[in-house]
Amino acid sequence: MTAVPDPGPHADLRRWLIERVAVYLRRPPAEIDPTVKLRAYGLDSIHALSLCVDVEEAVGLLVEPTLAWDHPTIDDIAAHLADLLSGDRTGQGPADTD
Amino acid sequence: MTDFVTHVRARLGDDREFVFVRDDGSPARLTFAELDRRARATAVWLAGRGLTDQPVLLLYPAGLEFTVAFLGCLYARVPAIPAPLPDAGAPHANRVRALMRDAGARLVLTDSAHAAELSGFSACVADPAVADPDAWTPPAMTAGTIAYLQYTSGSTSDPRGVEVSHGNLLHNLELFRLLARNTPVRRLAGWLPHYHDMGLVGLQLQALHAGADLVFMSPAAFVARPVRWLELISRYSADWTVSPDFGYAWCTRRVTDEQLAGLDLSTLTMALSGAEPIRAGTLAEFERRFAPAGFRPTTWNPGYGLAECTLMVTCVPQGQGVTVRRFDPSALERHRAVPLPEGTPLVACGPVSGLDLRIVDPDGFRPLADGEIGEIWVSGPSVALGYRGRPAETRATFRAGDSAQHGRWLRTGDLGFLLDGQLYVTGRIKDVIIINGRNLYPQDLEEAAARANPAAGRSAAFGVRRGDGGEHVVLVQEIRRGQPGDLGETADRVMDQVTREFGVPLSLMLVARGAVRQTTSGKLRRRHMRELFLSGTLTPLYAELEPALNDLLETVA
Repeated sequence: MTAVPDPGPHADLRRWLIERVAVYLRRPPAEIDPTVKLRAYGLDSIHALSLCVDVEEAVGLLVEPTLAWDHPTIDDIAAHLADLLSGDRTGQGPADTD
Repeated sequence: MTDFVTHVRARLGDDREFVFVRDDGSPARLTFAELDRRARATAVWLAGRGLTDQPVLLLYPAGLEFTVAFLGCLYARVPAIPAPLPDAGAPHANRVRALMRDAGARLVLTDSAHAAELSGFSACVADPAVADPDAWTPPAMTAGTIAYLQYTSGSTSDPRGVEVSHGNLLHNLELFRLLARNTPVRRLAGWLPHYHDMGLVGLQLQALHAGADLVFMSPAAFVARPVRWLELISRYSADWTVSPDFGYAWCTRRVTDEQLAGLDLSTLTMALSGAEPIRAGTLAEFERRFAPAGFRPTTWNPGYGLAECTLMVTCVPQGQGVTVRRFDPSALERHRAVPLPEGTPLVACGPVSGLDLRIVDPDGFRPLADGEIGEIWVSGPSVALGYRGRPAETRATFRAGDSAQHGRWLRTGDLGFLLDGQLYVTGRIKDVIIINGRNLYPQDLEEAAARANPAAGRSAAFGVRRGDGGEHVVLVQEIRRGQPGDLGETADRVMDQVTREFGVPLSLMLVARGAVRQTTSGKLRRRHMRELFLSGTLTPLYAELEPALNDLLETVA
């Protein structure tokens, strides 16, 4: 477990993302490695777009539909969302409110 | 009656309407009478610009403005070319340019929201407000007049536009009308894009032809929240819908128990499935999931068709339900349909009706008996005129016959067989790959893969059917000798590029120079490469295969 340096909201995000992705891929969450590119598991554009909707609904962030290609692993997406969230708090995030 | 415009204008009124439900749930409405008024004004505007008989590209978001522009083109005898709005980026812009070049189109029409971003194509906003709808005079039209060009065939670099005539359209829509038997369609609901042949003909033009309401939404809204499609059916008491297999499967997977509780699908009498292989499992699972909402198994209408035949070739008529039969999988591979109780399930796609159909040995052009698998050939008034500006390809595809003389048959490139009066589709000999109802062309995938790898030789892309019935892209790419760097990194780059550009996962095999086979005339042998891949006889330098595919290859081995 030493490979997980950040136990904060980042880890929660990672766990939540793994659960969502596992549903789309019809695999047990334990099989999803957060450092492996999601395309290697067979994630397609329909899944990728749905993941964006999930992020919007559960995390409250509007993200680009290319999220899963721009940030190809669970770890990358989690880090990106954490960035957006911290940016939101300091009011310096991207103009993603409407 | 020989043209679609005269047919539709005989059914105008204020009691029928098109309702586009925006992504926020609010409806935009136009009655048939208002659609007709705006279409006439658009036609006057087009004719005033001297565009009669000049093809025009329509790049619109989902919504009513497309319908007005499309009808305006029909009213003006301007062949319309519906196409998807290009995303930002070179590949999409190149596709638009290739379409315009191929069709000889000089004008792009769009809505005011997209005019600025499409300024690179000199896109115009048709302004019917400045034209007088009463100034419209119907141009001379016959059954042979081209109504529109459907560009769902051919790759980006080599697009092929199917020329659909007014006669084709009227005949195919009459086949739709007959499907309904004694209960004509009253209200259609759907989400398919208007540039897809099933969205254009199966939803928009069917509604106009039948004098039925159409309630529709954007494809993006459907993918994001599939329950919205079922809510359209529920809220507007729709009796017809159409979708590829993937749409029904996506609903079964995504709709929650809570959402299900609010749905009423009992008004639905026709649910067409087509445009991609139909999985028996999809139908059974949807039925089970939505029975509590009032969905009846007799509602299904599995069908088969293609743009080259306007849309529909065969479809199960209303009320007959689904016929699933099981066949020996190893016999299917040898092109024989041998019933086997525990075998591969195939869904019957309806009887031959209103068109001639035969199953033909694709090599010897010999008609085959029932139960024998061959290429599906079709003939009749729904078969389109041909590919625009491509006489050689038109002859090869649309004019097949027993001899080298002019034939009357359309070669569909799909494989199937007839049994007990029903058509079953088993595969295809053309190279297209169909994923989530979308046609992907191997040339486009190969070209993107080559762009990502400067050391690439030839590539071959093809589709393979996974164990769950879904199609998966496989790309075999040659590596030139002396390729610098790590093959794993190269593979990663190629896969990133293809996935990003096409939104599909893929399996990649890097092979040595000369491993991708060609014919003596230099034509890529994709089907042969597929056979070599599936039989495990290719020697990879490096391979990254999707897990589901690994399982498949192990079964073969």
